Amino acid sequence: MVHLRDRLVSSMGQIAALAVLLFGGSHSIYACNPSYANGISNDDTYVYAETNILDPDGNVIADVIVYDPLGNRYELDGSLANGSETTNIQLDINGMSGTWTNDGVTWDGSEYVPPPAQLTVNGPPAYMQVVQDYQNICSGCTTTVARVTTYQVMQANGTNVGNIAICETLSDSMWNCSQSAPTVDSLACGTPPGGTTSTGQFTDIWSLNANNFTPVGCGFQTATDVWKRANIDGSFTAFGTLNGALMTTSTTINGHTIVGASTDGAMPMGFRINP
Amino acid sequence: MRSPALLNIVGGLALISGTLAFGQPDGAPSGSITGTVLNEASEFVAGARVFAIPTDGRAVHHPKSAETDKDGHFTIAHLDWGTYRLFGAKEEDGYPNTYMSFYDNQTISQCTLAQEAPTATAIVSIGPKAGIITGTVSDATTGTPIRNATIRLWPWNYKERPLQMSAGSPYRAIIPSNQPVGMEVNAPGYETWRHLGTGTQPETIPFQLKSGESLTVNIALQPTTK
Repeated sequence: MVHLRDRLVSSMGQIAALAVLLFGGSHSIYACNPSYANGISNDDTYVYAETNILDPDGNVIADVIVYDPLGNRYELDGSLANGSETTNIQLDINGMSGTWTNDGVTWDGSEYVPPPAQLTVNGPPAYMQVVQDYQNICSGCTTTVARVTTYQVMQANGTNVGNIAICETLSDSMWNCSQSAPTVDSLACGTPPGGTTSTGQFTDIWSLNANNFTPVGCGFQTATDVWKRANIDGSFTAFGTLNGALMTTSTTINGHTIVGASTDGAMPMGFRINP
Repeated sequence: MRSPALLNIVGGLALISGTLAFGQPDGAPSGSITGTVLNEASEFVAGARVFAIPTDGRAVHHPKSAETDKDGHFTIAHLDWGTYRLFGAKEEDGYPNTYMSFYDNQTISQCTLAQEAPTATAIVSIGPKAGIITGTVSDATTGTPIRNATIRLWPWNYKERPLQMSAGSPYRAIIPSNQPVGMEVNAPGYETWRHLGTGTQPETIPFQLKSGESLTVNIALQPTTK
């Protein structure tokens, strides 16, 4: 570790390093073990956080290898020297992103006091859950509603996925208004994707967004909206399917109907939506 | 409130040129709107979400949006040609989504993107922060909590646009600030509760909270007389 420390220290402030985990076999990364496994140690100058990636059975399947901005490769043998107080190490592990958080180190006058080090690997999205859901009249409208729903995209292990690229496959049908059906603004897969926040959240708005549809209460009686991760290789991974209806004065999402400007009928916080 | 015609259109370097079309000939939209989000104190707001809502008849399922950076700046990219109104929100800090008419702050930025003018800049105003009313609903004679009450809120001068919500006990209602808001509470078997002024023949009066202000209102419903 010491030889590594010496090499890293000069560029540690710049390391937004790409770390690559090399591991063989057919193990899949299950959840990253926040690993205090080997604990955190410190000496007079530097803080060390050691971690391993474990499979579901607790077997060590990988050590961390870091490349600095100049492309120098450091085999960390399961440990990482971090001399910076604010450096987070970004990891990209077989297409899954994550962050090694080791910031906020303090110096108490005699030694550095390290915070807990945690390595979080974001696995594929598995489902999404409701953070907030309500409905009101859309701006500039008289009776037409807009439903605002914030979702959080989750991994199978119950942690959020962080920043990922997302898109939707949308199908609105059974239009029963007297006027022609409008085109719909969406985040269609195959076009530039949108993204989630650092906590895996995104906000959806469903609205016919106009006053001129009659009779009141008409609209798309069926709406199917499949949310997906837009993968780097061009494929898509579904993580949430919404089924419902988009009408002028009401909306339905997965069995939860809100009529007019109300929160009544809204999906409760934490309501799970599967692929 | 106000009619759409009275919307205060601000910001937005709007430019309309030629026939509006949805997307470029190759189908890849490339319009973008950049801008800044300011609060009621004209301070930059980081972490706010800005939504681009089309005004040309398109319905929305997921309007394009962007989050402001630490300096309050945002860029919404890959927009089709057309006219957009911009609405902001940062609900975790008390700024409700201004696309919801109940929380409309009467300040809207509007931009038009066309092939001849594929980019635009705008200032999006959010705030003031909403006010929050919390409290309990109970039986006036027994003190028993009432969990099936309904709260109805409305802009004082616009009663036909209420916001209705079920009120457990306790309840929490988010209302626009710096403007009068009416409130009444109903529950089966009870008289309607209204916020009354003082005097020998008190009349229903509105609440009016300041930006970010919280108010506790414990409501005791009188059982209906048979």
